[in-house]
Amino acid sequence: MNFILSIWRQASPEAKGKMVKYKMSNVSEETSLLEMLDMLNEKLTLKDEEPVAFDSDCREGICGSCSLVVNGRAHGPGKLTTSCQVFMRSFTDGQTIHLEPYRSAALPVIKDLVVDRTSLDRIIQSGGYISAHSGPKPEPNSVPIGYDELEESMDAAACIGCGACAAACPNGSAMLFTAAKIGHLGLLPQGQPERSSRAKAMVQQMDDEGFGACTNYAECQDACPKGISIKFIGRMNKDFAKAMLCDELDPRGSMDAN
Amino acid sequence: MNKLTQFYGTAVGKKFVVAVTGIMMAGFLVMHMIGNLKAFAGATKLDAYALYLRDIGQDMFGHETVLWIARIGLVVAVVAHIFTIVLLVKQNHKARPVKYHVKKSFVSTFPARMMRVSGLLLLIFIIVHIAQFTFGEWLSTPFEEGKVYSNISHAFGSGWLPWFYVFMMFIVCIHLCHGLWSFFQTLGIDNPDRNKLLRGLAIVVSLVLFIGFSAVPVAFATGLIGVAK
Repeated sequence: MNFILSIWRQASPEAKGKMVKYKMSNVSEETSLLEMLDMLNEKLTLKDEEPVAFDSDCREGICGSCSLVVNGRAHGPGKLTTSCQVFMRSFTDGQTIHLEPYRSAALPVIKDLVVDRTSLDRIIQSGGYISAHSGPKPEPNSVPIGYDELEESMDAAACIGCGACAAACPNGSAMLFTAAKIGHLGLLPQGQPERSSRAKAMVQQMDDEGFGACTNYAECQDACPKGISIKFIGRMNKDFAKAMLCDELDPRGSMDAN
Repeated sequence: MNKLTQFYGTAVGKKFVVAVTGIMMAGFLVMHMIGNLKAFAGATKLDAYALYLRDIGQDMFGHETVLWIARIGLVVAVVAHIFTIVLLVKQNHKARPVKYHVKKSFVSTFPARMMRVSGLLLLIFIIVHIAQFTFGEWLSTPFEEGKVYSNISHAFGSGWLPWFYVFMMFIVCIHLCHGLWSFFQTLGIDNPDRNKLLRGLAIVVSLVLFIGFSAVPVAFATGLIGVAK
């Protein structure tokens, strides 16, 4: 198969980028999109040109490292898939394939197709954890968890933190990511002590990172390689509103008596 | 107060304000539509209803008090809705400084993508509408306060004005198709087990409002009802 690749090239975070066209010929249909980029980079290196920088790690759709916007779709054609699991048979012979990095103020381009996703890490750091004791392993059955809650929590925990939700969102909002992290812990008994503070801290951090706001387009749910439902966004909103409006701002200290 | 300002400071808090003010306005529209349909009961009934609106609760609170509370409440809702949307739109623009070369949408609905356009058209419509039927501006025929039936009969009896109203009611319908469902989604009331029901409810209510509101200008324009010319 033959393709024309139109790829975003940007030398550094500050540099001005542009779309550059490359021709690829005799690509087998079993080649993955990233393997084709490897082939292109080999060609570019032999020609003493700068290879295209792109992220990848496991190449089996579970690590969340790959981050391409292929022909206007985060992670490329097909549902429930990551960029590394896109194969050239999904395209037609002679097609122009546009490859762009995620576009979000909170996910700035480092080089070419690589974006800085530490903003997502900082959202997790702000509250995406539970406090567990560091003593001996507790008896597993001492904390009963219902089957439905367990499954629902696992649905949210499936988030691999790739950031496709923010890339696909017309508003550049990472609410699906944040909601999945809040939801997965908030559904389990171990996540209850910090449920309020977690919702408050993570929603605040999401805003501080410069992500946009949700307008219920559901583009994120469609782009999510793990099929995480936007119901978790509703759940996050509810948790957050309850925490903000019902919790005491200042629960400690003495009060005026006169 | 501190809690509220902190809440409003976040995107999620702003979304709640948009959702709650939106549902207040939608509730008003339902009452407005029911009131409008009194036009089919004749001039006496409609004019009496217009007077009744001023009298609601007057035995307890005095003349027009409840009416003014409702009016102020609505103005506050409209202003808060629009002001908050402007803040959110600004945040969203900042969140995507570099646009995609190839831009596509896959699952977002047409009404959802049109929210800002339909909202802006509705703001213009609200101004025109209040100017016409509350203050009596820009009408080709004399406006008499309290003579509701004859005022709208003259306004809608001919020309393009009734069709402008029908078009605007279509915009209301489009705006509410997404807005009503968004209310449930934003407040975390929606869930996969009731999603179809709530999506359907939003569409049905939007269509009922469209048909109910359009019935009056269409009936006057086609001569089905109205004062004799």
